[in-house]
Amino acid sequence: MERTRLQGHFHFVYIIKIIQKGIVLCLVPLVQALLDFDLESLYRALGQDAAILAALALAGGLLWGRTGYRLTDGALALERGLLVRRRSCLLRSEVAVLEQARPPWLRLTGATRLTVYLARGRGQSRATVYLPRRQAAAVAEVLLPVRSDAVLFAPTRAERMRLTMVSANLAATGALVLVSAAQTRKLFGQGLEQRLSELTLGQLAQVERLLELVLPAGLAWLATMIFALWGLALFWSLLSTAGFRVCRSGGVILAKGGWGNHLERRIAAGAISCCEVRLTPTARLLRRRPVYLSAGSYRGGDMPVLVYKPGDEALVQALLPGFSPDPPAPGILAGRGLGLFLWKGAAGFGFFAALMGVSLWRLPQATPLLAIPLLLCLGLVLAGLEAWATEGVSQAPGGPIAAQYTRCFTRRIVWVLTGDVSLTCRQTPFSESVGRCSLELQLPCRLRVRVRAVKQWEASRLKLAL
Amino acid sequence: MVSFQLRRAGVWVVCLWALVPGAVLAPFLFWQSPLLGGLFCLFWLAACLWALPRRLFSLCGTANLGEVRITAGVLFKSSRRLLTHRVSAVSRLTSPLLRLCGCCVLVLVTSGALVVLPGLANEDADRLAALLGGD
Repeated sequence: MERTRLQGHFHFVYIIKIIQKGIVLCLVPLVQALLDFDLESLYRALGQDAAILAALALAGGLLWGRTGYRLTDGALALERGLLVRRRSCLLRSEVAVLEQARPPWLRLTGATRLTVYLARGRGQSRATVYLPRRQAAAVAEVLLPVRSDAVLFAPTRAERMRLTMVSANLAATGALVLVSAAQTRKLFGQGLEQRLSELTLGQLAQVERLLELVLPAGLAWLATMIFALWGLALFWSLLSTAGFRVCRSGGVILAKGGWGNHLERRIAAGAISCCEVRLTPTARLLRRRPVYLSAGSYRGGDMPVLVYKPGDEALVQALLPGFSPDPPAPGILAGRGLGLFLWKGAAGFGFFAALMGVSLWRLPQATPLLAIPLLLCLGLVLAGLEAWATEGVSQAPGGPIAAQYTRCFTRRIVWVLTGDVSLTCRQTPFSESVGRCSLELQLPCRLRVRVRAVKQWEASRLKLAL
Repeated sequence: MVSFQLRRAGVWVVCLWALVPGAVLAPFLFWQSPLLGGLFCLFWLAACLWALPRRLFSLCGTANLGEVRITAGVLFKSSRRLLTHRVSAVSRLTSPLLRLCGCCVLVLVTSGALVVLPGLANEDADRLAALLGGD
C-alpha cells in the first residue's frame, strides 16, 4: 500500500462555490430593502435570510465533511459528493500541468484554486479543487517538484511592457464586461445596475465629448468604448504580469507571477504536446514573438510562457532543450489558389463597400461608421494574402511537424512535439486536380490546426512518430 | 496488418438511423409550410439513401503496428492517420438490427480525436480491437 503523504478536507471556500446561488437569494431582498430604506422589509428579509443561511450552513457542513483528498507517492485521490459519491484518482505520471491560482477573494480566505490537467485529452482530463494555501503548495511540490529556482525569463521595464501589451486580450475583456453587467443586473436588480451604469458611463461620456471635437458622433462613441476596454485589458494584463518569472528545473517548467491575482503554472516538460508562436498585430508592431506551451488537456492559457525577439531563439532552446523554433519552409506556391485565402475578406470588403456606396447616396451620416468594417475587411484581405504566401507544413528529418497558418489577423506557428496527434487530409475535386489538400492536425488539448492548400505528397510523407 | 471495409448491410442500417433526425425535425422546423417541409424531407431522404451510402461504401482502412489509416469519399475525399499505440480506448456499439446483420459501430478514442467506424463487420472489428488492444 502506498504511503499517504498528505490528506484532508477541501477549503471551506468549496462550500461557498456550491451554495453561492443560495447566498444570492439571501442578498437580493436585503440589498433592495436597504436601498429603499424600508426597515420593516429589512427585518423581514433578515429573518428569512437567517433561516435560509442556517439550512445552507447545515447542507454545506455535511458536504464539506464528506469531501476530501489524499495524496500518496503515486496519485492524488479526490472524494466529492454527498448522496452520489465520486472518487477520482489522478496518477502522478499522468499529470501534465498544475495550476495554482490565488485571486483576491481567495487570498482573503487563505485558499488556493488548484487545477490539475492530465496528459489525456478525453475522459476526465482535468480536476479543480480548493485547498488551503500551504496544502496546495505541498501537493504541487509532490506532483511536479521544482528543485532549483534558476530564472530563464524575468522581464523588466520595457520587456515587461511588451509582455503586458502582448498578453492584453481586448475580446476577452469585452466579453467579461458584458457578462459582469448581466450578472450585476441579475444580482442587484435593474435599479442598482442602472445607477452603476450611469456612474461608469458618465465618466466615459466626458471622453466621448472630447473625441467628438475631431470625430463624427458614432465614431467618437466607438473609439471611447474601445479605448475604455483596451485600458481595462492593459490594466488587468499589467497586474497579471507583475513579477512574472519562468524557471526550468529538471523536467518541470515553472511560470509564475501576478499582483493581486497570483498565478503559478507547473508544466511537465515530457508532456508538452505543442509549442505555439502567435503573431498578433500587437506582437508584430512590437517585433516580439510570444510563445505558448500546450501539454495534455492544457491549451496554453491566456498568457505566453515567454516573449522573445527574432534572433534570440536561444531563450526558447534554454526552455526546451533540443528544440529549435525554426519557422517551417514556405510551401510551393504554384497551383495554390488565391480564392481559398481571400474569399472571406473579399466578400466582407465587397459587402461593406456596396453599403458605403449606398450610404453616400442616401445616408451620408453613416458613411464614416461604415469605414471601420471596411478597413477591417481590407485587413483580412491583406492577412489572406500573407497566408497564401506563408501557410504550409514541413518536417525536418527526425524532427517535429511544423505548421504555419493564419486565423483572422494572427499568424500562428505550431511545432507538434508529441506523436499523440491525428492527421486528416481533405480534398475537393478542385484541390485534387492540382494535387493539394487541406491538412488538419488534432492535438490532445483539443487544438485543431488547419493548414490550407498543402501539397498532397508533402502531407502524406509527414511522420507522426517522433 | 488488418484491412477493413464497411459491410453493405451495416451501412444500410446506419443510413436508416440517419433518417430519424430529419423525420423528427421536419414537423418542428416547417410546421408553417408543408411544401417546404416536403422539400426538406425529399432532400433528407436523398442525402440518407443516396449520398451517405456512397460515402460509407467508399470507406476503407488499414491498421498495423505503426499506424491506423482510414480513407473515405468519392468526390470529397478524406484520409486520416493516427498512431496505433496512441489509441487509448476501443468501444463497440451494437443494436438489434446491427446484430442481425453481423455488424457493429466501432469507436477508436485517442487523446485528441474520435474515429467512428459505423457498420463494420464483427470479424473485422474483432481483429482491429485485438491489434489495437495489443494482443
